[in-house]
Amino acid sequence: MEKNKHTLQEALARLPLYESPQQNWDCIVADLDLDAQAPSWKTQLKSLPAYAPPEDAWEQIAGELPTTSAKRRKLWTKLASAAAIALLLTVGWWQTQEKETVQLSLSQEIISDQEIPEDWDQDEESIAEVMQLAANSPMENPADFDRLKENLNELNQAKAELMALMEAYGRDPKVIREIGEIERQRSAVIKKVVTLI
Amino acid sequence: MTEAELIQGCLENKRLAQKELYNRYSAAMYTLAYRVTNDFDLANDVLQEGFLKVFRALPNFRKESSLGAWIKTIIIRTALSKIKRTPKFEPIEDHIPSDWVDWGNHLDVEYLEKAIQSLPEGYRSVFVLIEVEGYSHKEVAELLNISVGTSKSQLFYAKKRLRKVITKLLDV
Repeated sequence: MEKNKHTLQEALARLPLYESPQQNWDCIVADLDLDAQAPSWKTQLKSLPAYAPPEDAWEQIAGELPTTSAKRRKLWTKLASAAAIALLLTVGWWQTQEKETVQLSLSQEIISDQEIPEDWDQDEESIAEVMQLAANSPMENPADFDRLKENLNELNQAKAELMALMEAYGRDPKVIREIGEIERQRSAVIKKVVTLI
Repeated sequence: MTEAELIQGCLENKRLAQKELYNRYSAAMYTLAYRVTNDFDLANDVLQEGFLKVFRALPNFRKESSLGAWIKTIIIRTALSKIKRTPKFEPIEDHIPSDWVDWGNHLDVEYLEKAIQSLPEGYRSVFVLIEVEGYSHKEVAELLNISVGTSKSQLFYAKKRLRKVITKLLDV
């Protein structure tokens, strides 16, 4: 309950308005400038390579999965048998109805290792640019960046050794897989560096 | 520059349009930030963070309210987050007693400002948002994550406290 509320309203309307100090706009502009730079490395992030998992990944996952119990297996066997019988009956009936023959063909293409493009050097420039950007950016924990930089150097060294090995002894699939693994690790390091910027 | 031109300019990251938008609203938003936080340093932080949010979120502005109202909501939310999101509310019952608050015939603005500053966080937030900024109890309840009843009772007790402080200041 209020009496003479208009007195309060009139006084509230006369309350002072405070001017924001100039430094506030300067700080906002500085952050907007940083925003304007952001798209260049965001675009670079999008162009980071995508990798296929190793060939034996599914075998390893499948090995870790729990096996079905005997009871469930029995049920599945029964269901599969019933489905197979139903399929055979349907195919048999369809063949008696259909006069025209349908020819199915299957072909298999084997891609030679030589035909796979060597694309692991394509992102060197982007990686160097991200590292350069990170080196010039102010960070809360510069030690984290130094650690990631060291990791990247180690990976670069390992990659160079494998490349030399491949040049000397040819394109061994095992070496190619290892280079792929190193590329994955380098990509993970770069992603972590980007989060520090 | 019309509001539509201003928005378009900001969306195109034109610095002049951004500065014009800032100039139009900064004093009102700075004052609002100060009244909610009761601290000029925090108000500076709120203004910087709030306007950056405004410029970054402008592509999502759906024009369901005026630009000013939209900016005000962003500033209030930022200010509330600075005072730990939910202000501390005085432990009072959610019903309004039947006694009266009488504002008399005249209120000194300087004393009123001082009295608002002296209010506890919960009282002050509700009072500023409703009486100064013109929000409804429902809107305040949503902003502060409280019930409409709590908003009403906090406002009533805030006014009682204000009246008491102003009377004391007059006596001194």
